[in-house]
Amino acid sequence: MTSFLRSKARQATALAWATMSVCSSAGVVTAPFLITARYQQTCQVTASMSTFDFGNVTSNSTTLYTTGTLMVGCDNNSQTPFGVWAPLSANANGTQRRMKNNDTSAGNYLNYNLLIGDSGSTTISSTATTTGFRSPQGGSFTGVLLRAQLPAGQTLKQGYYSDDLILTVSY
Amino acid sequence: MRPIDLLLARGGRRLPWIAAIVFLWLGMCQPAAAAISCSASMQNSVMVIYNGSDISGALLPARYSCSGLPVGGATVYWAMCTTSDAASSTGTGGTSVSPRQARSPAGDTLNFQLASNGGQDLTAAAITLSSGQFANTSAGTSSGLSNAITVRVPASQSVPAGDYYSTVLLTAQIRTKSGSSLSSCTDGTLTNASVYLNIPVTIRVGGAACNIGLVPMMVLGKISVNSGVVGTLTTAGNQNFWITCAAGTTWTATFSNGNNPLGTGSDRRRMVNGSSYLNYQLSTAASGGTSLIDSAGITGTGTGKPQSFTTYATLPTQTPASLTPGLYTDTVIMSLSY
Repeated sequence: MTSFLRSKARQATALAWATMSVCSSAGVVTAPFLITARYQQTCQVTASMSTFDFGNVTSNSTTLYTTGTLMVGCDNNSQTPFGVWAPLSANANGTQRRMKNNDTSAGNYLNYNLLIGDSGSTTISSTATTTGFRSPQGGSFTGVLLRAQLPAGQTLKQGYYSDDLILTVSY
Repeated sequence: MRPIDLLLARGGRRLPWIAAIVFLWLGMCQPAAAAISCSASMQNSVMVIYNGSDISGALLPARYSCSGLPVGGATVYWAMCTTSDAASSTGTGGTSVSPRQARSPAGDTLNFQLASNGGQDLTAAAITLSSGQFANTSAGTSSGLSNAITVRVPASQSVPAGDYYSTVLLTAQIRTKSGSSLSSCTDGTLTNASVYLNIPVTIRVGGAACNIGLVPMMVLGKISVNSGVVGTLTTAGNQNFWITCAAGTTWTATFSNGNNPLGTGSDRRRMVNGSSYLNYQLSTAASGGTSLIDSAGITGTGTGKPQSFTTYATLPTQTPASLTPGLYTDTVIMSLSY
């Protein structure tokens, strides 16, 4: 009962306030909101090969080559400059890229070089670069020629030689 | 001699200077088909304004999202059903389920009840909260706005002015059926998906006649550029403003020019990123609507219940003087006058 009386008293207060509110009639409440859009240059890579394969090598008297093409396209249609690079793997000796023989008893490596571009003589960078190439207008893909080179004169031991390469496009 | 092989892994799509590499063998590591899982979020700022008259069907907006849905095949229908905790979950404002109560900071209470969109009180298991069909998406996900939960406030309660609160936690389960809709919460198949609904109820007595509950973030997304010309973009119509005004109160929502307007045209508003700008406009429809500039606004009459309206942001085709990559933003203030 006490609670009821208290409730009634407060109701009277509320009604008085409500009446005042009607007299002043108008009010305004505000809230900010955000509008966003994003402009991002996005490039994609499609490799037309996943493996450089020198095939079955029985003699290393001449330098061997194998080629592949990396397809790069950027979606902003505005000739985005980009670079292609490949960090040195754990098999490298200094800056020399090497494939490792999977027969650990042989314990040897074969040097190879990775060349990039139409001239076929430029060594690919092992550190990040964003220059050297430019995507075509219209969002289509451009091909980047890659050549792996196995220099002549290396000692061959029986085994399966491989190296993991990570090709990166930076823009 | 065995073959000599040099492996090449390809570099994936990446941001400048960030070493994110996609290896070819990732494709072999896909998990097995996932079970359906769903989540829902309620908006705790949306209120009911009570003036002593009966209120029923006051919709509380909720967003739900489900993943792990079957891809392809027949259309899958779903129903979201209450479970046994509906009979015992009183909420934070009171100690009973029928009615439930909301409580003011001063300790006064106001009776209310939660109901399904169909009007059934949420006091027992196996009540259909919401139902529909999953869009047959290739991604196996579905999300949207759920019309699942409403609030009812009985007439003629005399209580002091103030805001009354209760938060009711309910567990709902998803049932599914292939090919046709579910007739009840015993139809179809019970999935392992539970939705935990943390339902915030705010009921205002007296006080300001209008309240802004929820404003959207209007995301235009990624712009496309062709030879320096930015293509047009419009926001989707599923981003709503939610307001509540007392029954009978007329209201008008108007919109500021934002932080970077230029000129007097309908696309005077500009998003900014560094020293680059993109013009945009706000209007009442995706195309052919009223441009929301100056005193042009959206009007309505309050019902005491949450009301929603949608505006659209449109990026017209334009050739900006410069176009810095990154996020373009602007802040507009919505004013609700009554």
